Amino acid sequence: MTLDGHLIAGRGAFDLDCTLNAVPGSVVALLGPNGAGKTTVLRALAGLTPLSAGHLRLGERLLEDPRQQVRVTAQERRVGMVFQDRLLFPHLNVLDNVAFGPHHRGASRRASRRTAREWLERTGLVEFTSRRPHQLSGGQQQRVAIIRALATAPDLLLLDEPLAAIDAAAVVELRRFLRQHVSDFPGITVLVTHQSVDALVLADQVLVLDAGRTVQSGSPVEVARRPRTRHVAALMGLNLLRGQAEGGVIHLGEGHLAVGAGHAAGEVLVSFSPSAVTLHSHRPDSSARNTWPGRIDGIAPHGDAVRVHVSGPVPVLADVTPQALTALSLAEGDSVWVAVKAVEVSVYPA
Amino acid sequence: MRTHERVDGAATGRAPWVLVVFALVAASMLLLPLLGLLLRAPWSTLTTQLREPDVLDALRLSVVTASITALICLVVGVPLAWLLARVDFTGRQLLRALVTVPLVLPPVVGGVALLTVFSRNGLVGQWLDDATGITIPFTTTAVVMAQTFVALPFLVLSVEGALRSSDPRFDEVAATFGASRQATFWQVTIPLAAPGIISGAVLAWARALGEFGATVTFAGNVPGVTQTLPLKVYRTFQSDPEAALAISLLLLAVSVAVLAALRERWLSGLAR
Repeated sequence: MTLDGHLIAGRGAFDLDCTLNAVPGSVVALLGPNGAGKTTVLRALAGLTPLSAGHLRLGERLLEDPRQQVRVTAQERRVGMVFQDRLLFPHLNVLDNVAFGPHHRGASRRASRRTAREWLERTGLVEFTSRRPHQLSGGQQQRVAIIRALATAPDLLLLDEPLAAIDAAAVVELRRFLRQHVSDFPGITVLVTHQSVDALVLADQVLVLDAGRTVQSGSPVEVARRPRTRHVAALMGLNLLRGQAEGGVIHLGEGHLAVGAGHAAGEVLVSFSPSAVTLHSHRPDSSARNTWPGRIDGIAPHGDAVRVHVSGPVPVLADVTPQALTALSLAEGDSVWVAVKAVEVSVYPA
Repeated sequence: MRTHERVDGAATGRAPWVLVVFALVAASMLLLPLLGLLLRAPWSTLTTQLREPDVLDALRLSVVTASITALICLVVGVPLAWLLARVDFTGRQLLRALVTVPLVLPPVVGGVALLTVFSRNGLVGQWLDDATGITIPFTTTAVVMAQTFVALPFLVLSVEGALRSSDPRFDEVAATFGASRQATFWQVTIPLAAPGIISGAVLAWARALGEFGATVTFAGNVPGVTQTLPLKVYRTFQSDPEAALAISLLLLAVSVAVLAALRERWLSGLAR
């Protein structure tokens, strides 16, 4: 049952126009900054936000097509949605929350409770059966919300930032739980996430949205290695620069700087890890084309390293060791020379 | 809700005496009459006063009619509140404004308005009389109608406030799980708004119990048929002030009990 969607929806200043295709058992991750339209995509798929044009087809079933005046309501879509703030029914216990879907999809109250109990037993949540949502932690609530969505055996599983607003200690366990149940799920999963690691680990396909448009789509590895937007580059922890390639040299910014790599021509994107950057207090002699001057804007610890924000005509992030920083005796506001190791730079057409 | 920190008096200076004086006048205007009621009440003969058959009749009539009124308010008021809170339609603002009119309308005007519609030559009453021979004014039914007219807005506003403060996305969650709008209403919307619905019903009941102006105009003051406790107080006061005091004390006790039962809910339900 493949998903074939061209989602066009608009309200006032914001409009969404994106294409979404997926095969059964696959996971599509939606990445993008706040307000990019990620949640609108999920709402359109669930039937909560109507399309103004385009179409949505799931297998043989046409779910929505404004031109043909077709619109299958949310109730009839067989979609399981997990909202970011869980939205477990506060007046029902965990068992009845999970049984809610099966019951309203036609099972008797007893049969739906049995289904719910089976799911809770199978997923290790049986101890929460008779608790109310407010008696559970955020992570526990989210696990129940995921099971509640899966218990209806939906065709489409929609997850809106399932790991956001969960405290760090619980995220590891929740991520394992999510990975297991998403990989067991035979239908199509669409996952909205802010975290690159979730996209990389869970997804088969990554869609990057910005201002309601798809700005990049591809496999997670491809998106991670060759990000096309600053947002995704930042998520992947990479520097991303735009430049002009000409005869093996790439001119960045004001033309007085270049990184030697690749043999592309025309407008290109350049990405490299902050750890591929070294800082010097004087202009380094070697491979002079890969260096440029800048000014230190900020210094912050980053894992075992120190992340240095360098501003200037070509702003970059550099990860250096604390020892290197001390040896150079660099501080915020200091002028500095940046050098990038050419072999660690990836260059691709813009 | 944000709670404000108490301001240290030493830092901001003493409260201006003018404000304190006016505040004390206001408080005494509210409390002094109640104090008078308590001091002058015939405590020694209270039980015998309240056990008079016609007082018991009025009490029974009051409790029965107020309860029926509260029930009617629930049955028709909750759907109206839901419509105002959750359904977009043209004229919604106007309808909400009209619903609140009885809140500020003098009840006696409400009684006159009801007569224009339901009296034997009123808009509906004429037709009702011709078709069935039923006349409503000056019956127990009229008492309930008068009470409903003044009490319904309390319930509608209270429930609408509760519906607005509960997250409408729960309705969307229910929809994604296949629940029809009707099922969602009963199994999600109503349980989530239950505190507001309960406080609205109690408010409506209390308002109905105290109703006087619309009742005496539309239903009259017939012992055993339309004479509720407030009407009994008014009637008795001229002949037997002590008995009137005793009944007043009973009504005061009921009011305080209602307030205690609602506590802060009455505010959270109405505040939006």
